[in-house]
Amino acid sequence: MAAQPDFLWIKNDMSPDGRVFRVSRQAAQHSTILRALIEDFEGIDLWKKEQCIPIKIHVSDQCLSDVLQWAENTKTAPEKGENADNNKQVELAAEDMHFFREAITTSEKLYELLMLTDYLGIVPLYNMACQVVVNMIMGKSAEQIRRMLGISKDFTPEQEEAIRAETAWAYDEEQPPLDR
Amino acid sequence: MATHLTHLPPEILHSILSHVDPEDLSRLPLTCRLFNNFIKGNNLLWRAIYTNFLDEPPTKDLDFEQEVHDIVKLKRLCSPLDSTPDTEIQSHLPFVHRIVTRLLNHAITVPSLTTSTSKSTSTGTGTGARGDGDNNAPHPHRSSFFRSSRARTFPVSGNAQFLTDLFDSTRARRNFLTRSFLYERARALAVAGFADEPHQLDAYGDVSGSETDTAAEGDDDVSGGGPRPRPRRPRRTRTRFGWRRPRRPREAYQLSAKLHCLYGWGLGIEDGVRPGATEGEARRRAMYVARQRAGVYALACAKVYDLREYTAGNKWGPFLEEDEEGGGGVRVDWEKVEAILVVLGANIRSKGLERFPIFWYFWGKPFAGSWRGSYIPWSKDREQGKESEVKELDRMDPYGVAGSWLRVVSFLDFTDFFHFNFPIGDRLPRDVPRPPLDIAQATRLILMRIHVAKVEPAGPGDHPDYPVTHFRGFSRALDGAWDENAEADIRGTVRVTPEGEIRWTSFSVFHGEERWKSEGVQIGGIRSARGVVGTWFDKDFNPQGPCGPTAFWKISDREDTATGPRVLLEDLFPLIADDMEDELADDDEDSGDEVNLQVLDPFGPDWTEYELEDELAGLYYFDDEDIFDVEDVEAELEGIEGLHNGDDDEEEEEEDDDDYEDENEDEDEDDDNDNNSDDEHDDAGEEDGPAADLTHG
Repeated sequence: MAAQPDFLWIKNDMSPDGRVFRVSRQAAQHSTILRALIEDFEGIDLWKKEQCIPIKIHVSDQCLSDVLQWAENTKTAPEKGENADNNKQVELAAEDMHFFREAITTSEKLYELLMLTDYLGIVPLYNMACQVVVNMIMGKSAEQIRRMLGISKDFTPEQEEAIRAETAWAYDEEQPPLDR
Repeated sequence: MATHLTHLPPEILHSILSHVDPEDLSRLPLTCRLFNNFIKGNNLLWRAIYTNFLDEPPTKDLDFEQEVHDIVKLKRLCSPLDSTPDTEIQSHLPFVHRIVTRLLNHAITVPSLTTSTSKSTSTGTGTGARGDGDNNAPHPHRSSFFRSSRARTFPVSGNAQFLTDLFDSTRARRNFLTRSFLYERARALAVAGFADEPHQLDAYGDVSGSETDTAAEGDDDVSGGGPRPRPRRPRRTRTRFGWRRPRRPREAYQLSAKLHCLYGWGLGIEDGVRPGATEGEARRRAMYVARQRAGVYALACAKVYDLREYTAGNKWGPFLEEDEEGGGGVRVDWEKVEAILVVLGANIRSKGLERFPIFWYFWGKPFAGSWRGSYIPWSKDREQGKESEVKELDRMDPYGVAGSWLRVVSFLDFTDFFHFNFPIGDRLPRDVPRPPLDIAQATRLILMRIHVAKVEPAGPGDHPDYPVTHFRGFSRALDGAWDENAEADIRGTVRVTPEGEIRWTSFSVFHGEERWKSEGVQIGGIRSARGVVGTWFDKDFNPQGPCGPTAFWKISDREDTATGPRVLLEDLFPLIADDMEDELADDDEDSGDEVNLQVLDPFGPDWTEYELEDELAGLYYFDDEDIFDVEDVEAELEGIEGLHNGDDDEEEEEEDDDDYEDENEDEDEDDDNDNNSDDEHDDAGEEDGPAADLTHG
């Protein structure tokens, strides 16, 4: 395929398959890393397949593909500026819900999504992924959380008892007074 | 390679976990070792959880884990759904008091003018007042230091909002804000809203509250103390005249009253007016309640106007009787402050003043600026972006005295006052409160403009870390035509008591002669927007009175306080005008044209005459009827029963004050027997005889 001027090429060096992905200029705007790259190298010819940008992160090509697909599909302008809040509560829009239902079906995939969006600085998607985890945790009992996140209990009964005592504050009993 | 969520790098775990609810952090450590290790002692994470919904605290070295623990517990105690029995919940009052005051102490503060808190003077001397140039303020939102509306003199606070939400639960208000003697008495007398709750007056030692209470009960003949059955019968708390007050203030009473003071005036239990309810609805209810004059209000009046509670030992102010040693300095009597707030709040509402935001921000909303450092300076110069020179004296004054203050004073007609305090053949024991006082009062609005006269070091009996500010100024009743009391000079002092409360003492000077004195305490602490609440009385402590409640709160700053014209209204007017603009904007976008205050230069030379006549009629709400509309002495000592008639006629409109009287006259006779002629019952003997302040359900 002919290299068009408005596409970047990305390849994950850590992935065994190592496919090369095409990223439109518009989609690249979602990633603070790619955006910075484009700004810094505006004059230079970035837009060739031979100029493939290597990334190094332990995620599958499937995940990279999903994320880039999301970026292509998401037209809303990403937040501009340095202080785009990296850490705020988000509501998931319907398309994004769809994305999470279709693409992120296991907690492994969620893990990869978090790693990758953090790496590429795709803040909105990262925040949404965080929120998805938060929603899995909120209001659940320890056992439910374990099941939800696929964690296995690795305490001895004694350890568990000790932690239970430490976290009793949330249930009932006096705390020693605090000095101001 | 592990691709498990628990193996995420710490920064990603952090950004996930900083979004969960505080309660979830109690369960996560139980899931697995990794979460446990990550969460425990992770102050950064706990801090993120804390600041998710609370203000950035002024001190940086908090143990946020502990803070969040306490807050979760507080939430649970205030939850309307928790299944714990109320008596058990009430026993946590000391904890609730501690955490609520702590949250208010950590609420967002506005930097003060004083050099002690403002580091930077690089851009000139006046900048501290605006909140910029003050680098140690940890708050990123500078804009919150400007008033969002001119009448709103305190910033939006996550802490105050959190507390407001907590106490939105009626159950929380009942459990923690109604534990003072005032409300215990209301329960004992089964007044409106409290009829179905048992009181605990028969056993002082058992009343909910901290265990430490029992230590103070020794003089009530409670030996052995504690909630267990006592071997010896306690001193009877009930006489045929009514229940005795405890000799020493009970800690639980005081704690609850203080919480109530921080909360605001009304609990929405006795009268159905919820703070923050929409204005129209609140007003309709208020008028209804004012006409009814029922319940706790009458009990609070009986406390506030009871001359026996004004003594040398409490300096005639809202203070506790001094210890015998007297060395401790004054301590605030929060139960007195609570009663004053109840009385003034109801009076303000019955005047319809609550519709002005400069009132309802303080008298209609919970936790309204009741924390230290909450006052946001405002003046027309500042609003126009002009820097103003801060005078040296003002810089030395940590209390932010200089400026204009709006003041409310209530009083009884003197005949009523006298009959209430000196009934014929008065045999009421000293420690039994007087019967409910249910009688019209006059309420005056006063504008005070004061400036710092001098600042002196703390004297004996003051908190050693704070100076004493002396102020002078001028006051004028907003009811200009009223009488020779309309204008007065003001002088007084502000100081900090050893326990850290801000105490205001002032004198009103007429024609060079001091006449009235006032003692008050600033709710929330130093430079709180909520202002000062206290008592007024004869400056010579005349044993025949009069006395009454008063409150004042700061509305604006002004640079030329020392000279300048004495007319003060221009300090108030922009605030009221602003309110009206807001109101109009809310109602109807076009209606701005009708009044169009914006195009009038509110600071122009002629505005006072013009505007006040036309637009501020509501502030001239006072006519002589206020003072004398209930003349009958018989009416004054009414019991409570008579006041609950007509619960259903709230739809009646506001104006008809008359039927308030009518309703009550029917009941007069029953109650007179009890109240006015106690001597006739002298021989009745038994303790269960007709008690002066009892109504028999």
